[in-house]
Amino acid sequence: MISDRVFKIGSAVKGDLTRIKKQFDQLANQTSFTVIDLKDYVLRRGILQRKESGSLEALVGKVLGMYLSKDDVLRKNDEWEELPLKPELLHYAALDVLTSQLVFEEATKVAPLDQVEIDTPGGTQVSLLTQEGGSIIAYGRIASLQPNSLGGVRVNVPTRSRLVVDIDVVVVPSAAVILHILPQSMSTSSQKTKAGAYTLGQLLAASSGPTFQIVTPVTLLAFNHHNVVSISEYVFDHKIYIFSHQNSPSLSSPLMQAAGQVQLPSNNLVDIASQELSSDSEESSLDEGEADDNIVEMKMLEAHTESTTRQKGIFYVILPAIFYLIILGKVKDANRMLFKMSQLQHLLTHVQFFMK
Amino acid sequence: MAAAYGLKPLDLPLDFKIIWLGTSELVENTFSSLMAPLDLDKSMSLTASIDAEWKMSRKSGVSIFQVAPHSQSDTVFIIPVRFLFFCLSEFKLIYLSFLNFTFYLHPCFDS
Repeated sequence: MISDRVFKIGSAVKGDLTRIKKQFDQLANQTSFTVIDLKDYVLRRGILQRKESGSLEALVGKVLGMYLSKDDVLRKNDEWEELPLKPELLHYAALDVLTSQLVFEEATKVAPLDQVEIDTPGGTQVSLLTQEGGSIIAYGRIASLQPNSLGGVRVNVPTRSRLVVDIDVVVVPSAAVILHILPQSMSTSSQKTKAGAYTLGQLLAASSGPTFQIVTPVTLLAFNHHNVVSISEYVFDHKIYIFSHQNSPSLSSPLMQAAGQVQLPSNNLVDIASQELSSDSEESSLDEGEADDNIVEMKMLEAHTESTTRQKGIFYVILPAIFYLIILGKVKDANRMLFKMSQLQHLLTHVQFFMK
Repeated sequence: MAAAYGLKPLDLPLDFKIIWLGTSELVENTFSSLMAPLDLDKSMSLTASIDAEWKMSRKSGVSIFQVAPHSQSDTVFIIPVRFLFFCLSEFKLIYLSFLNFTFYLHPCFDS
């Protein structure tokens, strides 16, 4: 085997090789390529953003700071098989491939970004991002075992672009887990995210333990080098609690892991809450529809509060939290409301910890 | 348009060589020579930029295939794949080195 050591480099190179493959019957069953797509190569070095054009002309501008003239009349030509080839076609063909070489060699001078790869070892601490280069929605570890599929979601896809991750800490429960599509029967308007997928909160709730697994595109993973979330921002909708925590598998739940290392005194939480109350006061002028929603929310909140109070016996800390939810005033339906109540329960867990 | 922003146009250097591989022997000799160092040193690899062009009316396959080995930065090899394909089919020949270069070796070639 030699060709696995021959790296074929080009712009949209897989398409070219696929066409050649179809030309040779002997290669009909061949599926392996050793190719480097220029756009991917440049993206990995942070020279180009994924949303930007990856055409050869664009790469020449980005990487070489030069201008490549691509004459469409030459490219979309019917004389590529007329021999001898016209000089302008020869020139065009040669320039195209030389350009690819120049872009590659220049991009090679830039160190690749530190990115999670498909072969990054199991156990590596990672952050899950809302989108490529986006904010962190969860912390976890690459699963030691990578099955072919997980919960009906394929892991081992031909593009080798997915990994199973053990999620330890959910930062944004409402964030969609894009590959875990909701079944049709559950895809009601009130439950589904924009992506039509389960949320992290839903998967956490459905899991039997503190850690649960998801399948995610590798591009949504970033290294969590410190293995410590030194200052985590846990976002409960409008509210941000800042505290330190260290991942500790021995603790009973991801949120308890966080609570177990909280370093701010409890009165800091109260301070933050009261600041938010005053800052949200300008939102108190609600329209009638929103007011109706709030009545429903209030009734549900009261019912839930009573049961929670009986169960937890910490009525004195629930009242401020209830006040916080009332001030939110933006919960639109019962499901959303229940989800907020589960968040409230987590909050109470934290507060209980402080009071001990 | 980019030129209007003051970007310098990219063009072939004056001493650049465009080598037309118009026979199967030329293709075979060129590619076996390019890959010879890989036989000698199992840790060695080869990088080459490639591209293909095809005439607009062609539904599948390519008309020409361009290869610029990075080890020869002043040279581009152009293979008239479609033209040679007819010749080779007629004589039941295979571009062994070319196919070896382009893809993993197919098991039936791996002797």
